[in-house]
Amino acid sequence: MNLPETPDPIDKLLREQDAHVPDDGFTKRIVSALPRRRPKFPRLVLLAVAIGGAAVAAYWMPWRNLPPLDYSELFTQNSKVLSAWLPFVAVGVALIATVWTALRRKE
Amino acid sequence: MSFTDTDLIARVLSHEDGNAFGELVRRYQSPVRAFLTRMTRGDSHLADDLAQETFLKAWKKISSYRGGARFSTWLFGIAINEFRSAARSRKEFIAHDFSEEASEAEMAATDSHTRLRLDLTEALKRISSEERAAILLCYQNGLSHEEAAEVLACPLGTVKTNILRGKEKLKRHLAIDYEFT
Repeated sequence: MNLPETPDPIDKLLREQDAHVPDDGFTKRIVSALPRRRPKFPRLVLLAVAIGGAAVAAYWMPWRNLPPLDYSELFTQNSKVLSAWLPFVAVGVALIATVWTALRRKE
Repeated sequence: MSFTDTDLIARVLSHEDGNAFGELVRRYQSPVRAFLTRMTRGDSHLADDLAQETFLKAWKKISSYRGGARFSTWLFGIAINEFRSAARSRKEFIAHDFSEEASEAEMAATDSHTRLRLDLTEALKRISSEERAAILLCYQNGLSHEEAAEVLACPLGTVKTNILRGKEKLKRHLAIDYEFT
């Protein structure tokens, strides 16, 4: 520490103050409360899952059997258009959400 | 075999080694808790809560420790920020008139030197938190003025001014009973 130019009587008193605090289990409590520092699923893993899932979905989806997207039929009762396209939309949203989460994750 | 702080930090970063971090906690829990106890004017429960938050934040942010400053300096920086966050919501950290209060320890102390140390503890409560922080860091924890300025995130001149003003106030508080000049 920086030394004073002239000795100040209060300096000695300040340095003498006994500041020791016994551990009394403090360290143990801290160590037991430590959270994981690294996320369970790092960003690259999430991105790989999203891309892999997109590839599998693209391969297995029955593209040829999909009805044309007729907007007038879309929201009618018992709409075959809606029931056919809904899984595609759900899978697409899930994949986009995964990619978004992966990109936003702080490492 | 004793590991240096650098060795322990390297183990925490590479292996997420909780035991290595525990050794760092063991080494620095006393100065950090003592500092926070004095900063909170003797509230040891609050000081321990703040110390716990300090070490947990240190664990999460340890990759940001650059190694240029001492590890203790970096820890004190986190500790003072925890104190400042708590102080913003607690009015009792604003100046309080302690003149009517005397602790049991003060009443029981018989030798003048012990009484003087206890009175200094009480006098430290009466100065501002920034003055108290500067004095505690430099006198009780051996930081240089430059290191204290880094911890407190203020200019070097401000640290020196706070130390001078704080010491003058302490001497005024102690002068009445002890002819402290």
